[in-house]
Amino acid sequence: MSGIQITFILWIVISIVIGYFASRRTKKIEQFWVTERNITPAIYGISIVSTALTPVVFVGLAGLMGNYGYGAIYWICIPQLIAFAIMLCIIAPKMRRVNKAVSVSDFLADRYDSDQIRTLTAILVMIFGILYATQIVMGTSVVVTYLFDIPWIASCVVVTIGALVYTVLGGMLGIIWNSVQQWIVFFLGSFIMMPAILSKAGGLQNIVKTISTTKPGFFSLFGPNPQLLTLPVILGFLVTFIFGNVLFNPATLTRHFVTKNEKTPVRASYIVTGSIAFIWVFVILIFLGGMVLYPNPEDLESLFVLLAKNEVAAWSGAIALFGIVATGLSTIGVDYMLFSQSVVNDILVKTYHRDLTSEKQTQLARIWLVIGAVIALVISMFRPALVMIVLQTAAEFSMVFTGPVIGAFWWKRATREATFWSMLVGAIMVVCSHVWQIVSPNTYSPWFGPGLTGFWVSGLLFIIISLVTKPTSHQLEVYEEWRTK
Amino acid sequence: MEEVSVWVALGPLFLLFIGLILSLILNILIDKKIILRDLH
Repeated sequence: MSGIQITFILWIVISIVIGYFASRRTKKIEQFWVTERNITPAIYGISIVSTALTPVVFVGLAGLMGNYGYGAIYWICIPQLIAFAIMLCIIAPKMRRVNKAVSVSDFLADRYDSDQIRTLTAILVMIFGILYATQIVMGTSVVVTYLFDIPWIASCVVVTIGALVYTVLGGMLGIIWNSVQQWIVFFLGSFIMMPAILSKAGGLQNIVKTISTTKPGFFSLFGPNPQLLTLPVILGFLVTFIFGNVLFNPATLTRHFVTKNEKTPVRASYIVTGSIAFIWVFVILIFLGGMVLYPNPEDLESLFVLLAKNEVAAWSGAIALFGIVATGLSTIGVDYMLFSQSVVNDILVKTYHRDLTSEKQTQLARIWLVIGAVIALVISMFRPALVMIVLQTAAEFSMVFTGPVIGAFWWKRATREATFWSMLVGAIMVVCSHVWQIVSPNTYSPWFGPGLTGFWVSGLLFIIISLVTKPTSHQLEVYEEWRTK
Repeated sequence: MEEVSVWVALGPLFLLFIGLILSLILNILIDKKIILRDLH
């Protein structure tokens, strides 16, 4: 066994030990879901970064930059960073005011006084959680396969165990404490290769010269091929990455409940926007160097792995790849939690068995974490081609929370009927748009892309139905209680 | 083919810190009680 393999195993063991210590502070079910609601700005901020960054940042961004050049930075990265600042300073403090909720379903059900909304949200979040977990297990396993030269199925099992054990033990606190060490690993991982890659590629001057001559327009606002980056494509990116990925992503929406007070997320905004910006700068510079070293790689998405494997010293390459694994592990556990929380808290307990004891609920929560992990593991083992489309659909589901969450805090007239129907029809439209794209690619128009369609159909329905229905007096009371000036 | 200077190519990376600047502005606005006045 090599030193790198031993270090990896040691790292997983440390995560589990941290999970064990977290479990000693996790006695009641509420603590399992949202800790003691006493997380301070630095730790909360780090946990948000760990959840938000996935292997997609390292792997997928190269693919996007290959297609759209700097267009990917202007229309995806920069809008997302603006969205993080708005989320933490404007939306998160308001979410924290909702003292009883432990999940997005709880929060929407309390505000709009409806168990149907609870169930519908739980189902959407459940699908989102399990498919997102599958996607990240697959993304992370690619790297583990490269790193240790072991079969695909073994990699999937290693990744699942790496994320599952500490989550089952420590619940949300296990995830949050581990996110600190994972943050250190992927910060180091994104930085460590940079100097070597830049110097191998002949320095910044040479990199810029080579790329600007071989790929004219790469550094411009609309990238090397402006026909690819049309208005509907840009709008699709903006709504998907701002509203779906950042603002109303269930994984981050749930996290706001753990903060110590309403100011915590506001303070945490520095650490979140700062660390993501730094990591992206490092990763982008590595990609630019990589594009010079490998002008025509077969698959741009494997560029980071190729560079780590072939162009730097074994240890720094390994740390860089550990970084990708860390971004994966830190998000997988959260997605298992979303699944388990939807089944146990939202559907089983809050809808049917409110009198279930805390111990019994914690036990069930742990069992459903394992069930969720096994489902995600089985799907990822088969590596189905269709899964990528289904996953994207799940990610776009979070778009339908836009109206209901904004309405909960800022619109007195928002009603239960509007919330229910806008979420249901919005989610169906996302699926329909994907089906249209697959069944008849010739007639498909990007103006009706899944992200864009889900966003405007659910948004419009939310406004129209709210205007024609009336909020009940209970809904108005809750609105006043949660309102901030 | 037109060559691009290093600053034109790498300058935009500084735009990634726009989120940090926005955070700073929002923190100041909240502390001065211009927006979200009753946070606790």
